[in-house]
Amino acid sequence: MGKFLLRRFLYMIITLFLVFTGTFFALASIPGNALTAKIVKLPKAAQERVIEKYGYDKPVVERYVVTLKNALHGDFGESIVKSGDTVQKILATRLPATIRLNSQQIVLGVLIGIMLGIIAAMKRGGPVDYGILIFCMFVTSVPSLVIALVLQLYCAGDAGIFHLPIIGWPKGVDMWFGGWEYTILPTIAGALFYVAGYARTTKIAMLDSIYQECTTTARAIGMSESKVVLHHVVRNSFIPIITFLPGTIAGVLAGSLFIESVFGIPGVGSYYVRSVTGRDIPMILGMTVFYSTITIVSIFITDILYGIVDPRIKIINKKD
Amino acid sequence: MSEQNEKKEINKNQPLLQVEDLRVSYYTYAGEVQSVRGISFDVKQGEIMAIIGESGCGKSVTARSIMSLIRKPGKIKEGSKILFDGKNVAAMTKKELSKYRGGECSMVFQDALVALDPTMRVGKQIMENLCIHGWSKKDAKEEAIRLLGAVGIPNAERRFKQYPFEFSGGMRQRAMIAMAVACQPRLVIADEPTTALDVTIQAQIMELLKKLRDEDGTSIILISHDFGVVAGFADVITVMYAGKIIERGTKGEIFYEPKHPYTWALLGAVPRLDWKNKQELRTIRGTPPDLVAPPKGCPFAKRCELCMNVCLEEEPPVKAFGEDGTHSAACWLYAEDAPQEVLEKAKKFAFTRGGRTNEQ
Repeated sequence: MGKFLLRRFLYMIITLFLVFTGTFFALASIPGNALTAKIVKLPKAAQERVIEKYGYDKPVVERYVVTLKNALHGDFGESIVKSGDTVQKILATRLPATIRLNSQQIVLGVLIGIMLGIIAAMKRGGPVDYGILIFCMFVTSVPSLVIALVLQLYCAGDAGIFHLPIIGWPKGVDMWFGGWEYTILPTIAGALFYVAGYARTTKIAMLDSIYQECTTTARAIGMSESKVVLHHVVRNSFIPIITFLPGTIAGVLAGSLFIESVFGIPGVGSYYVRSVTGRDIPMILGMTVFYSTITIVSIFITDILYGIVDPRIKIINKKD
Repeated sequence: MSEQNEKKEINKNQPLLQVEDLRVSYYTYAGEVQSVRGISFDVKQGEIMAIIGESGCGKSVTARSIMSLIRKPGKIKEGSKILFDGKNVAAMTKKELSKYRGGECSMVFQDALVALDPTMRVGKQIMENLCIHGWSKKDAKEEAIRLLGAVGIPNAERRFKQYPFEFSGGMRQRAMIAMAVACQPRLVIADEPTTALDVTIQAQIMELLKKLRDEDGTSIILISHDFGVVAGFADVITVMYAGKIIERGTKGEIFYEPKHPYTWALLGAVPRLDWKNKQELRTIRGTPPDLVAPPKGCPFAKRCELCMNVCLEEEPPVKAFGEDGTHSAACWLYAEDAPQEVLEKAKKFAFTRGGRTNEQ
């Protein structure tokens, strides 16, 4: 197991390195960046001085080496657009909002999704099952951005049904466990997509396990139907559901980029979007590495979870 | 414990399980598949009964019906009666059923690899059965380890913590048996318990089941398609074909005085030591009838070499042989007015196909 973990860890490092390199050269190959926009009105001599200050006069490979060296020390540089902003500072001030939003989205999406999936599996073939199917198809096909706007239009503000705030996010003492009215709409907007995915995956996994021979064995020793579902069906269904989890975490992160912008949430996502539109190279680079790290780590955790839920997989890893 | 033994004594002469006119159908897109078409039999306390027949003849469906395990789209039809120790299984409440399944009547499945939950430790699965039937967790664990040892699994304590995929095929089937007998049921239904195993292991597993009967007086229903497995083991043999019982008798009666042409054909298909070299193995031509539209007359008529006109038109009556009524077969050959030339031909077949017969 230790050897397996070590190898996976090395893979993670290599992946991160590739992401960093790819992003760097992609950004370098695009003409123009935040700096060119900033200095466009300055006289020629001043322009050259600023470019020199940021090091953009040097050849791309040299810049790459310097940036990589600094990045290894956790320094991605200062924002070009807003001096004083560093990746660390942005994460420190903006991460809480993103973490709260994303966890609420994941918890809501996964719980409701799994619940709907179990209901659909138990009532398969009936009107409830079809209702859930249609609902799932609807929320999958409509982008969360549109859902966000529709929610804002009909549920928020003075004209809305619930008079919820249209934009904004709890601050200060309410940062983690207060100001729920601000969080409701963005959470729903981001979660709906995952509800659909989880409902479908859960239903299919449940149906697979319901017809497994071992459920008949469980019934044959007098186990009640609800216990059969709980002890044998749900447990066996979790294997495919878990494969879905890293995708969810990565997807929720990506989805919240836009949700944060639409709802004016001071999170990492909205800053990331602004950095990209402003071509703020150091910040884009730092944020990309941050987002990739989270995605890769969540995939890594899934692999470990696999072994816990399905003992057959653990053994194979041991033999490595 | 002693109370249970007393109870067993009292009911010794009464059948433990009575099945009357059992009919089971599966409602599929293709139509109603009549898997079991009105069978009746009973199993006495301490008796080993074998149900034998080809794939799809309704053996497993019968077994599942006894356990009340038929699920949609299958249905046990009205008028069917399954009495366990005088109690109607179909009328049992959820609570009674939970006590009955695993507690009084349990089942050993064919393929233990899929029948055991792949993601649960073997010991825990045996414990589950005990816990459902009123054992405390601590006692159940000790008992489960003892059971694993009792069915011949070495290092029971270590094996207790392993998963089904870490067991060999034979060991898995032993664990399955340990699970089935955990609560000392009075009837164990073994649904092709050795089909997935090689011959040596097969004999060991059958021995284990037999020990169970000899020591605890457990009744066993053995479902098989293999006369070889049944031969050394069963007291009573029931031959099923296309959802019906076509012949029933004690082991001696079925092996030495088989009456039904299908039984002759089945026995003829078993390779024998006293055959000459290169003698071809007999086969039964054709396939069993489609049970969506079962034939009007005898189900075996289309494949029977002695088929008469009446066989195609009307269901054969069940005729009892001998004095004690243990032996019976459903065939037109034994009707009063059976034509002489067919009987002559039958004698030849009975001899060449089924081995020795008394008429010979």
